Amino acid sequence: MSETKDYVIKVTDVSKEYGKFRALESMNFTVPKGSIYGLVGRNGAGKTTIMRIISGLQEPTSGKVEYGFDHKKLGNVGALVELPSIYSNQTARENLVYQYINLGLKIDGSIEQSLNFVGLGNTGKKKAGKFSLGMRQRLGIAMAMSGNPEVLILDEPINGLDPQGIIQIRDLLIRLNKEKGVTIIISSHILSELSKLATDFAFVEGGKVVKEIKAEALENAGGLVTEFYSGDPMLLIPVLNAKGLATTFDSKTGVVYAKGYYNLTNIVLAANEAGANIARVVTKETDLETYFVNLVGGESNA
Amino acid sequence: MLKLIIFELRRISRSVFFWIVAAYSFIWPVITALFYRAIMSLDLSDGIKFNELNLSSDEITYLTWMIAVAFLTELPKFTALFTCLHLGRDYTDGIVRNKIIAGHSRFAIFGSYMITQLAASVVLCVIYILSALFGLAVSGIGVDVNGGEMFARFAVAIVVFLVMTATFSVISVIFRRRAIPVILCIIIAMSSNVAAAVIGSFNTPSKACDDYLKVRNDHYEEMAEAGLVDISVVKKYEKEYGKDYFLGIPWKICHPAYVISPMGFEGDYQAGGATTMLAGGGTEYTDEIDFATRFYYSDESQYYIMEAISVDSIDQGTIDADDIVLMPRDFNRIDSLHMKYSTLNWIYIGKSVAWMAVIYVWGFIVFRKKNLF
Repeated sequence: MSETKDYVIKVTDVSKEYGKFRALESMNFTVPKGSIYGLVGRNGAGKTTIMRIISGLQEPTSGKVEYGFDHKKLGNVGALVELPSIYSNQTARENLVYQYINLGLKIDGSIEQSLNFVGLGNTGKKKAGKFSLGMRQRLGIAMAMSGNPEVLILDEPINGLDPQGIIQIRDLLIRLNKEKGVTIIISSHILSELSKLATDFAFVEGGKVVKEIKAEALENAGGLVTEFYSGDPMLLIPVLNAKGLATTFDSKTGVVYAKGYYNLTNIVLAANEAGANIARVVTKETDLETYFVNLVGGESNA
Repeated sequence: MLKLIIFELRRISRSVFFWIVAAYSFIWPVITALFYRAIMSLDLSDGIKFNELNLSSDEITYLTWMIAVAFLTELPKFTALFTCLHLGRDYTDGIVRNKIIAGHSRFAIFGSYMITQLAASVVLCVIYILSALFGLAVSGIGVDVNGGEMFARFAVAIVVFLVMTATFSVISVIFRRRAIPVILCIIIAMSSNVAAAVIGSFNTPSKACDDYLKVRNDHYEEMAEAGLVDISVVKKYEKEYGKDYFLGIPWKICHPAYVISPMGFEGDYQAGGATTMLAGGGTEYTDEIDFATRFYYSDESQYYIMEAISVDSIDQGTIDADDIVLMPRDFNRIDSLHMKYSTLNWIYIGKSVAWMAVIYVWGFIVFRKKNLF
């Protein structure tokens, strides 16, 4: 009986060298089953390289990639790396037929279902070469989804898409994850979008994963930061601490910074009771981009 | 691999380019046969008219072979383009990535490309041959397949052709940039005929040359003894036209290529027909290749020398030309210059299969190691 594993992919000490250039250096991360795993990093950090290795397009120079499923079974890994791999001179349906043959699947009504699922059910005889980028991406995802893979690897799937296209892909991926239980590994430069999708993040820098974090943990680690302006900050700080907020005090400006979520009314009432009147409250959300910049330093160029 | 083979066969069967080449393979041999029919019976002596075609059995056999086997020179340029564009699309559209991601091994992917391209080439060759036979029949020239023996030679010709297909296929899958294979394959296809003709013309075995020189020198000396030519002239000719003259630097370069490659195929097989047709040695179609005859006819300088002696002697009224001009029959006893067709078939099959194996192994090593996808 095969052992059930709680991860889909486990990357251990994976390095990749191209001649003298070291693209990956002892990279480690684990993709939990059922997650949407976001890879965040600058250009050249190694995101695409590790995705190519995981999807079998390249061999690592050293290290190993373990799969929590039978990855050698045809179609158990779906991937859309760089550009969608589709015959531009064929229709969407014909492309899926080829993918079905590729995977040894029976050509049946599920092709139409897949096309409808990605919103390409009405493309008819239109060749894929005449599709918009969003349509091509969706067709690429439909092809990658053929055979119900355990994991879907998507490298920059929303790159170059217009806002509507981004929303369509985002909705599609969430549906795939929720409705079909597909684990998704995704990289994107558009961190605001990634933050709306991913349940887990890995921050990649210099060919390494410098930090793995769950979305909830990220929210807590960064999350909401509130600036409290008060006539007597020393009285305010214990009030905020009592409400479970972590605080820091800037003695130069007199501002109290509090991290975490709270009920403002309760805070104001408690502060009044303690004699620390709150004059002004400014809230700031520490987003994925800020977190990334703080983590790796320099400009955000993920 | 079966899934990938089905995948590729479906693509080929739906390729417009493939069907255009198939149509060409069907039409061109018929046109060729009709053209030969026309020029062989055309009479321009008194206006343009067509005489009744009167061909010997040997001539029909020779034409059957020549027109049907022409796919070796006609099809490479098309298969080069077809292979590059067909396999290239899997790279430009990224489909080869889909195959790897799906879980197919590189061996299966490479193998499916090679097998299906070979299959496509076989189909084109068979269309060409059948169409040639059809064209010969309908044109009135007629078909003579030498009692069925010629089908074996057609099969060998197809195997020889597949070496080129294998080359095109491997070149098509080992480059990431798509322009390179197209350029390389077209160059190879266009130059293959010239290369085959050049290298194939250096097919004389070294021993054959020794044997030939021995016969010739004996003949010279007989002539000297008979007083037909001065012994000093004989010595001069023997020295001037020795082995180094016949097997010079080009032979030393090209003969090894001829020995180890299938180039020269057409020349070797046509020799039998040429012997019969050109030498006029009778109506019986030889079942052996007579290298000696070809050697004799290709050696123009020697022929001219002999002709010069003959003319001089005839002018002096001392000799009959037929007594001194070497005829094919003079070389009959040179065993090293003879080879049965069946032996030749196996030699070419062996050389072709060996070449395909070398090309495929090298191609697969590159395909597996190189970052192509």
